[in-house]
Amino acid sequence: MAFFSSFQITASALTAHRLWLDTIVDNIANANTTRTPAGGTYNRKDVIFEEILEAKAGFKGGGVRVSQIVEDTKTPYRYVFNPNHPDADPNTGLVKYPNVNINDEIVNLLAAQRAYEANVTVFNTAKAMYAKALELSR
Amino acid sequence: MLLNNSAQSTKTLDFEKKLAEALDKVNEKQLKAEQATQDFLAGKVDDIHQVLILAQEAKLSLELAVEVRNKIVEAYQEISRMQI
Repeated sequence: MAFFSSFQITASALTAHRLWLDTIVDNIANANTTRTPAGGTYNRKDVIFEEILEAKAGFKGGGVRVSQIVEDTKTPYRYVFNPNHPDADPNTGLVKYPNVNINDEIVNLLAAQRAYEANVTVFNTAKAMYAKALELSR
Repeated sequence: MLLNNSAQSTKTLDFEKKLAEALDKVNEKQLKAEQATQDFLAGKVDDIHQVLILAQEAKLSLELAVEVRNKIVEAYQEISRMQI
């Protein structure tokens, strides 16, 4: 049943993009988090996609997976002056907020949604092709 | 003639075996889809697309099996209509 390999490939992409969505949701949820179990402010997280290499008849490939989720520490943090905040810097009175930019996250959210949709479309196309192939014998 | 016959019989055996194997595979896909649905309902799997893809695979392989059956039945009817 080699035809179903295309289904497996889209399934891997759907899983990966769902994980990306989860990461974006986590970023948005923690957009104002000043405390983490690791200590300090929340760092926005990014997913790293990795190709799955599997030699199949005639082509190499086998989908995608998330190889790791990395913490973004390079994007600058947001500092808000609020000396009354428990997590404010005692000297400067500045509170360090996460480096999550809601607008960027929304754009990523749309990208993840569209990518998911694209993979669903691919799945439906493969399904339609298979159904059409079954009509050959009629 | 005799050799030919035995070759013929192994061929039919092979076909039978292949058909049984294919049907087994179809059945396996059905069971897998069933299991995935059960797991999803029980909350063990949270990927809904996995469940639906397995269900589609099961559906399509069943459709393929039905097409093959139609062909076999057609062939049988063709033979039964044969004038002797």
